[in-house]
Amino acid sequence: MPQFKSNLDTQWLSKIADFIEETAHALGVQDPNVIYDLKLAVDEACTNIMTHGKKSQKKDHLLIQMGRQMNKQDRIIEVAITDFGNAFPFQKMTLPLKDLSIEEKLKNGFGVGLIKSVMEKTEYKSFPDKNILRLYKYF
Amino acid sequence: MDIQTKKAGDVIVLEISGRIDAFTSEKLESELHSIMNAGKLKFVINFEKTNYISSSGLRVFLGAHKKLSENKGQIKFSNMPDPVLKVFALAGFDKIFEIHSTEKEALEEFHEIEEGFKKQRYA
Repeated sequence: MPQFKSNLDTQWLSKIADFIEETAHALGVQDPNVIYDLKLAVDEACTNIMTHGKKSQKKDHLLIQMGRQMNKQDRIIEVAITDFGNAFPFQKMTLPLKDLSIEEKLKNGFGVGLIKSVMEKTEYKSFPDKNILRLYKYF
Repeated sequence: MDIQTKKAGDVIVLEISGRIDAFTSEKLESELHSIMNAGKLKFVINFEKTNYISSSGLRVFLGAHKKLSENKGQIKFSNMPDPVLKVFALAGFDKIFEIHSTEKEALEEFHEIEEGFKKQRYA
């Protein structure tokens, strides 16, 4: 499964985007809208780790793995983002983006709302030494 | 990301090229604040050459909108590519901001508002 190791520095976000785009193409994704959604969701998740979650990280990097699942009905891209910090209440954040006031939009959690808006499914699991966020997108 | 700035009367037009993410949005925020601190209150942001925006970029514009609104200023957007427009719409920003098809249209809207004020003043 293709893997990318990123420093915990927002300067690396453009490199992450390049990895997502190149790997999505290699996995057979043609639709630019699907690729944009994947880049957006991964960017938001990695930004959270690099900014809000940075202090608790026990390693100096995060990992991104990307693969695909195919059956007769569906073709799905799966992206797994692993970090080594404190767990984050990802699933609790279900923000109704459009209904938020300006003040609420400026608060943290805004990015998580975007991730959930553009992905078909998300899973967040916390382990003693790491957290894994899995993102699923049909293509 | 690259930012080109030009004046159209009392309106400042920013043409943004490339990616607006958590790293580059710091530069954008700094540029906007610097212009606002110089007393400019009217902005058009031209997104024609912008290929990506994340929530970090949206936050910058929301912050600018808040500050400008407090000072009777305004920010308008133009030439938004579909993927960028989609992110704005997902966040409900298309209800907060004026989004115009072209930079010319956004500038004309500013000038029409100005003309309207003048007519009211001298009526």
